[in-house]
Amino acid sequence: MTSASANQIARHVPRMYRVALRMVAEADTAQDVVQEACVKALQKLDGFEGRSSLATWLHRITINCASDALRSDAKRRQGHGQLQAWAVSAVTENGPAEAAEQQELFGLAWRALDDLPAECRLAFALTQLDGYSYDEAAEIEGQPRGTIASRVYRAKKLLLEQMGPHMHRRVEQ
Amino acid sequence: MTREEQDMLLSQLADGELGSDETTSLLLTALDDPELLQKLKEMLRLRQATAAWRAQQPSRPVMVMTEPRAARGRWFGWRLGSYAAAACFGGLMVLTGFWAAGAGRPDLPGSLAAVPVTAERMQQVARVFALHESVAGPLAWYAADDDNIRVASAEGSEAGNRPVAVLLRLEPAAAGGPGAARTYVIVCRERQSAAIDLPDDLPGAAGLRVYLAPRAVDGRVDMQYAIAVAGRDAQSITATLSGQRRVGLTETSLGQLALSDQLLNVQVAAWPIRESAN
Repeated sequence: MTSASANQIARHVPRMYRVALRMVAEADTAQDVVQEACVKALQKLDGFEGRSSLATWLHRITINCASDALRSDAKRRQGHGQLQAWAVSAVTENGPAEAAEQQELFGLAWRALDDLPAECRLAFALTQLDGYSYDEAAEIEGQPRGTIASRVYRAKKLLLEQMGPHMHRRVEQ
Repeated sequence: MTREEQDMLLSQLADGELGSDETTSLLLTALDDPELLQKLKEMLRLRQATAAWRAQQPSRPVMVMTEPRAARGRWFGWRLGSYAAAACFGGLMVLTGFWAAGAGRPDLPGSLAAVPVTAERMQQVARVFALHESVAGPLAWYAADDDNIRVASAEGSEAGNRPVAVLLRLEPAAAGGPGAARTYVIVCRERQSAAIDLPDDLPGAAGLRVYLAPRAVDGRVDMQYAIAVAGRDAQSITATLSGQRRVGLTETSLGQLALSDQLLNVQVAAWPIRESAN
């Protein structure tokens, strides 16, 4: 292993962490998942043939490690609900008024995510929560970029419809 | 273009996924279309609502290194401390090599020899900085001499600013004067001022405070600087040197610090760190 390859992987750690956190719903476990994923990635780096991008490859390893973590500890399967509470409390970096507004919007969006069609929810999560570009999300899902763009748009449209009164009120302010 | 297609483009615009031409064209259209503008505002607000989530980082460093794992325990957070120590030790070893490599250069005390920084040194500094970031997470700055390594974690967006390396050298102006020459390697962030306290063994001095605000310009560095030496017997600053200079890979004299009964030459070289150099 060279420091260059470690550095390459290190640049993806924040995004791997968000993917893991979204799946396992607990910060400490997500951290352990990322640590495990990094070790596995480095061990397998020689076998990485570059058929997909490094981002996609690391994403798959992270998903696998997170799935293992979920399987190995059934009580962590509380998932979405627990994460929602955690996430809303974490969105407090701005001023009090703005933070409260963002918390409310984020909480609404998060609750509404459950009602989205699965493919729209995944496309939204990859691009809006994990921070992947449309191209990267397309590679991860094995779909054309246009399909991802369409799914993300549909997800947003449905979310905005559900959050409508809140969004309109704030946009008009 | 149907309204649906236009809305889909708005969604991509809010996500920064459109090219500049399409972005400009769509923005101009939206400015003349209140309904479209309203939709764009909603899309942007939705995007903004998830921004803090996208900024989430691990709360403790993730070690990106292949260490043999003695036990196949799934959760090994307890081993982070030893990983960190190992990586820091590795950093020290690299630094030791760095100083050793510098020992052979013609830098007699009192000389103001203009010695260029080599490509090898630049790579070493970049590697050591990257190594520490892999241990400690994004850094606001990193500073080292041959005794101490100090790091400060980056906050918010400053981690995205380009790192700039500064080689700071203090040496007695008079040949054979008391005290040895000291060299510090500092990596800080462009457009982000750094105030760094470093212990020192200069005669009569307790410590060194270095303030740097660098900005890369055409491969060189425009740098505001202030260097202050704290007296050992009093809380007051005993010597200061400040100004603004454009410096590059060749060591440049910033002037002299008058400390007790001796003069110290202050020399500096600086360069922006390229990511590819890591």
